[in-house]
Amino acid sequence: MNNPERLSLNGRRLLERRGFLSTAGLSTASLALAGILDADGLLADEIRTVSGKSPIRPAIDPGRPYSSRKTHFEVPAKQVLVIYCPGAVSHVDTFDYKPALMKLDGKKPPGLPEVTFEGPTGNIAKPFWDFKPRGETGKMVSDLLPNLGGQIDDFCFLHAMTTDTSAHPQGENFINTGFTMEGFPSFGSWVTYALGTENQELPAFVAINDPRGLARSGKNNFGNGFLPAAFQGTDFSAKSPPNNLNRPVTLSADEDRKTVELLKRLNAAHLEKYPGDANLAGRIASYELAGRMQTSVPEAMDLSGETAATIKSYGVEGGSELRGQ
Amino acid sequence: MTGVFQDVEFGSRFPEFSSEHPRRKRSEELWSKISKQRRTLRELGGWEENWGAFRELHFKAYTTKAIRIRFKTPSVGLDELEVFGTAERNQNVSRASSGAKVTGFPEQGVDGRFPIVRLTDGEYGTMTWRAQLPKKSKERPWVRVDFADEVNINRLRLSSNREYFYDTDYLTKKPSLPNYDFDVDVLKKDGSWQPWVGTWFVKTQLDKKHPERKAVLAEVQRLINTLAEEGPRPSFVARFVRPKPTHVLLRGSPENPRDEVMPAGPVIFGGDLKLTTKAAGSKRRAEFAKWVSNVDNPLTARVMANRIWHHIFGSGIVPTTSDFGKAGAAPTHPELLDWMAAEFVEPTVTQGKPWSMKSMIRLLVMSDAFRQASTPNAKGTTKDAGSALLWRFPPKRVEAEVIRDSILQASGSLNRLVGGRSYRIHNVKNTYAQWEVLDNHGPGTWRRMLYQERMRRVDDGIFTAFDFPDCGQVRAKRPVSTTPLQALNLMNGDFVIEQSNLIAERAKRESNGDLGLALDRCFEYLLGRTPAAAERDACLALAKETDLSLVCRALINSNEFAFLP
Repeated sequence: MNNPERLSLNGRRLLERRGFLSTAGLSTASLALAGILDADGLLADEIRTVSGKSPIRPAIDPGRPYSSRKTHFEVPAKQVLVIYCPGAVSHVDTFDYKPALMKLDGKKPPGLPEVTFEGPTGNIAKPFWDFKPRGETGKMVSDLLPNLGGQIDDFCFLHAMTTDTSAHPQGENFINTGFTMEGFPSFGSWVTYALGTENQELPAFVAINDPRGLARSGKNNFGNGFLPAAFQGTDFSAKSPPNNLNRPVTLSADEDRKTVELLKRLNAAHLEKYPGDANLAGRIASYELAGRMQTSVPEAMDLSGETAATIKSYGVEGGSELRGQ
Repeated sequence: MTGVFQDVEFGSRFPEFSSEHPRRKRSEELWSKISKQRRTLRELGGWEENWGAFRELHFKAYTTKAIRIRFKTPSVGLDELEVFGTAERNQNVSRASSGAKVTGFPEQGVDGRFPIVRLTDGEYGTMTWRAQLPKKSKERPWVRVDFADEVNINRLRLSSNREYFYDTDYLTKKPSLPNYDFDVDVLKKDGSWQPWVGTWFVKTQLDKKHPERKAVLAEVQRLINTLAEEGPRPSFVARFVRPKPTHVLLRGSPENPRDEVMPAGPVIFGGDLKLTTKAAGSKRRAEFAKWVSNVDNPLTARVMANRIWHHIFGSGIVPTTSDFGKAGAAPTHPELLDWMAAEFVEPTVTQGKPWSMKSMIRLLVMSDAFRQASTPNAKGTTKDAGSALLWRFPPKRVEAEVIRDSILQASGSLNRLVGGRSYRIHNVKNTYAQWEVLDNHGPGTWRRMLYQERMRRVDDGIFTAFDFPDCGQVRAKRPVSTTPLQALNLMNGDFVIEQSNLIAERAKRESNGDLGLALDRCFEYLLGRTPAAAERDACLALAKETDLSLVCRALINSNEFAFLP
């Protein structure tokens, strides 16, 4: 299938100009040109962004947006879990040791106006717990967290994050998308865009929300921004399935299955007129994945099959309504 | 370019309507009725009108140099106090800019953060004068306004955040001015205060004296409420302000203004407009418009021609329609694009007018390229699989709106009403909080999706998954993606199930109970053709065994329905 003729015209033109036709090994026309360029270090060097680095653009088949893609660097991580806590316990009471707070306790913060738009400036309060060096690294941890303090050598901290905003929704946008404004892709969206997923039974990017309600900037926190909708987070939890996952209550399983069969037949006949059309084939595949999700998502949501040991190790046994979501 | 538009500021306000506009006509009609009722009331003493976020107290005219308002409640919050004279009906004589001076107690407001000068600064909103005295305190808040000159007055208006109600009919908690009780004194020529009018007096005392007022007052209030609904409504539109100097904002921060810049287009495109900060706003915009539309400026026509091409053929000659710069893609056919740009400005092959988008669209859709079939062939696929040379029109998934509207069209339930209020799928809220989609499928939503009220970040539960953009953002080009969530929504969503039933019912109704004919009708409604023999057999089998509506459900989900052509 080494057939450069099947490359899109736009792509071919660029390649010809650079004289790389003979070396490019290509299989489908739908490969994005940038992905090809990226695969070839020499070529990639010619495209420069403002930062002076070459752009990394994954080759995405629009028909199969979730197909697994290679990482751009060697990485040890297999999965990434982001736990985002809007309005969590204060950093200065937990892991962020600020000795100046002890000195200034009860005093006005130096260099701040008496009154800001939020009202008169209050006094500084020192942390409510003492800090001690913990673990081999000697990381300062407050006495509020005696158990986590014992595990502190396994943590990685970044105590350098600041934002330009003091408003909650904008701050949430900033930490999850990198911009205070709306319209930018979230962490998970970028990762899914770049890497796809190895699991073809479940959505690539899942957002498990606080059962009490979404954070202030809502779906932005796991949204796709300007990336295609395929890369948005799918929000579901053990208690709330994704939208429209289940067959309509008015239909029996048999009726549902027969509609799906008819649909397959109609689509297959239609596809015969457009042999090899990736978009049509991709949509057929998306219906197949949807069908698989109708089984796999409830399985993922069901915690009843987990062993007592697993449940205990996650700390989700009994007690709070908020646990084990 | 910021400097060019420095005199334009956007916000909510009442737009200028032409004298022919139905809302303006309705408003004139209602105002003449209000004036008539007011004339009756004026003969019977003062009265109060409730305009939502502000109240008006009308009273017997008096000529004075100053007025004093004594509140009877310990807490007061107002954004503006307006006093109107009899000479010019809508001239607020208490405004600081007209020379009036405001004093009172507490002069600096609660915590010293709500100064009384805000009452006459001409600004509505959250910047208020707020008094909050202890309940047991014997003192009460008061305001004194000294006018620039002696003036004959007969009306005052108290308001609280009165522009907050603009465009917020999706909130139940609308601003309203609390029922403050107060007395008004006027300054006599001898320097003493004369108690003149009060809320208790007009609302209780006068009504007792003239029971016939009740019906008239009720009628005035009814007319005022009708005016708010049927008269001109506020829109988010521009207004002109005095242009300020324009500065480069360091790293985009308005708190770090640096070098001053003059109103101009980008220099790289020859955008120097030879203007200074002294140029009037209208001059700036006119010069900018001349530069943009100058026939010697090739970029405007090129960008527009490319956009039209993008909408007709699915991808622009420059694929990045909003970026012709370094980060954008190069044109695949620069000569063609330039020819089109020239044709757009000065038509030669068509009889169209210069700059006519309609002529341009006509030119493109009449072209051989546009009229190619969509089916592929081996020769074409080998040479140009991506159809960049337009030897065919590859199937393209239609947008969310097209899918939704076509389903409604097929079931015959599409409400074709043009204009008016949008339809709403989400809840009415108390105040700012998360939106909740309540009804994305009922009869109230059966208008074109164009009319759906869109809230930032709200997933409508069906069609947002079809790459419907967040309406808080400008997006020149929508991505088209294919996801299993789309499949789930279109297979199982209430909207599709209900519409499938309606389509099947309509088909049966129009074919006298003949199932075969009804099936043909379903194909015609949804796909614009009759079924082929094999399709007919498969569909009829399902329709007989279950119901025709399930066939409709399958057709709605079919690739043929979702893709052009």
